[in-house]
Formats: sequence, structure tokens, C-alpha cells
Amino acid sequence: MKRREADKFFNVILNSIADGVFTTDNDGKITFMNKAGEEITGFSNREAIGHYCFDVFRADICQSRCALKETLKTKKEIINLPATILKKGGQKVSISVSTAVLKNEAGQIIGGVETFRDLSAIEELRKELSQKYTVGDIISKNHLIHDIFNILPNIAESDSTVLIQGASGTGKELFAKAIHNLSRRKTKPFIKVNCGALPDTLLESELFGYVRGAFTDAKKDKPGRFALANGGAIFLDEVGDMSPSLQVKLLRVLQEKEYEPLGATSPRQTDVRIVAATNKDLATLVKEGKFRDDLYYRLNVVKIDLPPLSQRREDIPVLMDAFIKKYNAKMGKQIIGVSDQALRLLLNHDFPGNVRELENVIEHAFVLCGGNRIDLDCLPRELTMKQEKTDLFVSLKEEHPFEKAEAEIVIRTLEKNGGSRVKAAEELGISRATLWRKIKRYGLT
Amino acid sequence: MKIAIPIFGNRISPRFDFSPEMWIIDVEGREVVRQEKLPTANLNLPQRLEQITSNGVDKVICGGIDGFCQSQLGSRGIDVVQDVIGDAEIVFDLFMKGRLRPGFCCERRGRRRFCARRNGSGGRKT
Repeated sequence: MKRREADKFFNVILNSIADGVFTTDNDGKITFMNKAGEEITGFSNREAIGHYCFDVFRADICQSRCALKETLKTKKEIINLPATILKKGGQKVSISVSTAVLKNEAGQIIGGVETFRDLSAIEELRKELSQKYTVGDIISKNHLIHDIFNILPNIAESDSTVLIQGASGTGKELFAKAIHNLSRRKTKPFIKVNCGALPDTLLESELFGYVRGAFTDAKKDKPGRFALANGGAIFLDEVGDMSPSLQVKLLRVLQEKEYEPLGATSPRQTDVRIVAATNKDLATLVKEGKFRDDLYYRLNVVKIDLPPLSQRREDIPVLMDAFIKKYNAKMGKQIIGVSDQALRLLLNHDFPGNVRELENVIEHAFVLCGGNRIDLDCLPRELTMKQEKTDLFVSLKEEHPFEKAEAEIVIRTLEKNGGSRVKAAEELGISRATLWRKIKRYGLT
Repeated sequence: MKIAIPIFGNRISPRFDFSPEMWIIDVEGREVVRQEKLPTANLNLPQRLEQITSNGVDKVICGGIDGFCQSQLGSRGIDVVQDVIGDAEIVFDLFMKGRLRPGFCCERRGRRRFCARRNGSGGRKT
């Protein structure tokens, strides 16, 4: 085989593999990059060749412990080193890197070769398992969320107590984790306690622990969540559901930085940052006398109000894309997007369950979806039924309100009777023929 | 006006968030009044942002920067010229001449200086 033909042959092979590959000369300048490499880095061959690999690859390890430099120095291969690169456009991509030396026919080293694999799908799943979310994992185009992003580094840098308020499913825990992972405490534990999920006495022993002999069956000391979170952060979810007696104890932790485990005779010191969250309006609970005002003021040092999804509708498409990516990785499917009709329906839905509800809708669609696009029939029935009703009322908009009300009664009765016209007519006290005429008139077939 | 350039040796750092040094230059008109290189290797992201803010920086010239950092700088009223690669001094010279654009590559070739768009088009000696 002639040299030129051999080069062509190798190019075809390298361009057909899914892993990114680039080669460099001894100075670290790129001499070749395959198609997968172009896709993963976002830089074309033309933009990459002749430039230093670190200017193209932009990995977090490039400036501190460059794998290729290490290989060229030691002549030893490096295999599957984890790293994060910055794709053209500023998106972070998790990859694994392997490096080896390149030799010519005479055995002289003429450069290096780096292969890299896109691990973003795996990383997505790993994050879900480890719950190690960062601020980069919060997706939003909304100005209210961006205002929060802007103050997040300052909040993280301080050690102040944070109160996150927002309706259920708005991402309070995600923000709490992002604050922790931006802070100097990020290497220390982040411990979550749901204050609404446990009975009072159990919650106290969970938070503060107990000592041996504190009660029957307390055969040995048990550290509480405050002890486990020492040096790190504790996330008190649903703090508004805490009983008055526990509120006093939490106040002591906030004021004195100490607590007493159940049955202990002396207090224990704690160095924990408290991030509290609630879906209730604590100020109202204070007014109603259900929450201590002194605790409220201690918790409310820095307050973050998370808007509901209905106030950030522009985020629905981007969140949907992120969930589609996530469930493609999780369920091994290849869904590319949402049909126009389904998107219209989702954009008009109020999402009382917020981002969590949207995620559940996408997961539901993944289970039912057979094709490569989420259509109306893949969405939960209650959503599509609501759309049918909306369409009907739009069509009746110009008509008499009495007709609207009648149509609504007919729909509800039909739904209640599982679509049976006989039973619906019976319940409404009209004949089947009258019901049929009404169904036809309002276009309910 | 104060300009901050995250650097890596004598080159623009490929990543804003991992640069080992920050070159801060105070410019009045076309004159450099003061300049210093601050170590940044051990700083986390909030500390890096704080360093830039507390030094009164108006413009950051950098290599790769993610969306979050960019919005953080933007919200502090700091202008960003990103995706610039090459020799930091040549980049700064080009900026002073008012010709630096995002995505530019500025290199030394022997005794010559060369600046171009990254894909190689529109290159010129400086």
C-alpha cells in the first residue's frame, strides 16, 4: 500500500470511531483530530490543527497535571484519567482521557496521541446517585434565577445561615447543594434532614443523637446529624414543620453553636453551616404564632426565594431538553425531542408541582413513548384532558355562558362514568338521544 | 481602566477558572500605569471573582470561560473578551490597539508576531 493510500485508510478508521482522538508533535501542537474529537470539543479540525492541545482541549488538568506531558516525559501510557473539558461555547463536558507516545518507523518519539471519551451521560447518572450537584447543574434562562446565581458565590463564601423558600418541586435542595459545593466546606459532608418526615422525638434524636442509657434500648452512643455534618453543612428541609420544643433547641444551636444529645449531661460544640428550606411562608407562620420569631430572624440571615415554574415558563423547553438527555442515558432510549403539539400543551400547563412535575411528565412520556419524539399520546392523561377542555372552552368563548356550564357538566359526567353515555344520561336525568345531541352540539366526540 | 488577564506562564490561560496567575494591568489612555501578577492557583471560584471585583477590574481578557462565570462577571459590570489564545503580551498589545476580538489567536513566530482568527482566516502581522 502506498503512503498516501495508507494515510487515507487510517483517517477513515479514526473518523469512524466514537472516541475522540488527537495527535500532537513533541511541542504539544495538534497535528490531527478525528470527527468524534471535533464533536466532543466543538472545535473543527481547521481550528485545532497547529494550536497547542491545551488551547483546544481546555481540560481542568491541562495546567496542573497534563496527561500527555506526563506520558511524553515518562514514556508510560495513562489510561482513563477523569477530566472535565470546556467545549467551544463554554459548556463543561466530563470525559476520560488516555494517552500514549507516538513513534516513527525508526522508533523515535515524534509526539503523543490522546484519546478521550464523552462521559456526560454517565456523569449525569453518577450525579443523580451521589447528589453532588453544582451551580452548573441548575438550568435556567430566567432573570429571577439569574439574580440568585449572581449572589450565590457571595452566599457560599460566607458562613451565614441560609433560608430557601419556594413551593414544592422548585429545586430548594439543588440550590442548597450548589451553595455547599461552592463553599470552602465542600470537601466536608452535606447532611440532609427532612424535618416534616419524622415525629418530634425521633427528629430530636436524629438531629442531636443520644448517649448510651438515654432510654431503653439505647445501648450505645449514636451521633446525630449535627455531629455527622461537623465541618460541613446541614440542610434542614421543611423547617416550618418543626415543633415548638425543637425550634428552641435549634435556636440554641444557632446562637451558642452547641447542642446536647439526648441523655447527655454536657453540651457538644458544633461547626456546621445551616441551610434551611421550607415551602411555607415562615413570616406568616410567625404571625400565626406557629413559628418562633427569634428562630425565624436567626434563620433568615440570607433568604433565597425560588420562583415557581409558572413564573419562569421560558425555562420549560430547556428543562425538557435536560430531562430528555437524562432519561435517554438512564433508559437507553434515543428520543430527540417533543412534538409541536406536546410542547404547546406543556407550555400552557401551570405545573403546580413545578420542575419535579415536569420531570415526572417527561419520565412518564419516556415509559410510553415508542418513537423518537414525545407526542401528545405519550403525555399523562390528565394533561391532555385538560387541553381538550381548554380547546372546547375556547370554541365556546363567543357563546352563552350557560352553554359553557352545560358542556362542562356533560364532560364531567362522561368522565365520571368512564365515557359510558348510557350511565351519563341516566345520571343527568336526560334521554340518551338528548345527551347524544348535546355531545354533537359541543363537539365532544 | 483595569484589565485582568488569567495567564499560564507567558500565555493566556486556556481556562478562566483554573489559571495559575492573574495579570492585572492598570491603563490610563494608552499608557500602562501599573501592573502586577497575582497568584490564583489556590483560589476557588468565589475567591477568583472576589479578587477581580476587589481590584476594580473593568475588562477580562481570557481563554475558555463557562456560562456561569461569564454571567457572574457580567452582573458585576465586567466586560469579557473570551476564547482568546496565545501569547499574553501580544494579546494585550492588540487590545491596546483596539483590534482584539473574541476568538483571536496571537502567536510569536520567531521574531514576528502574528494575530488571526482562530480558523486561520484574516491573519496579519502586528
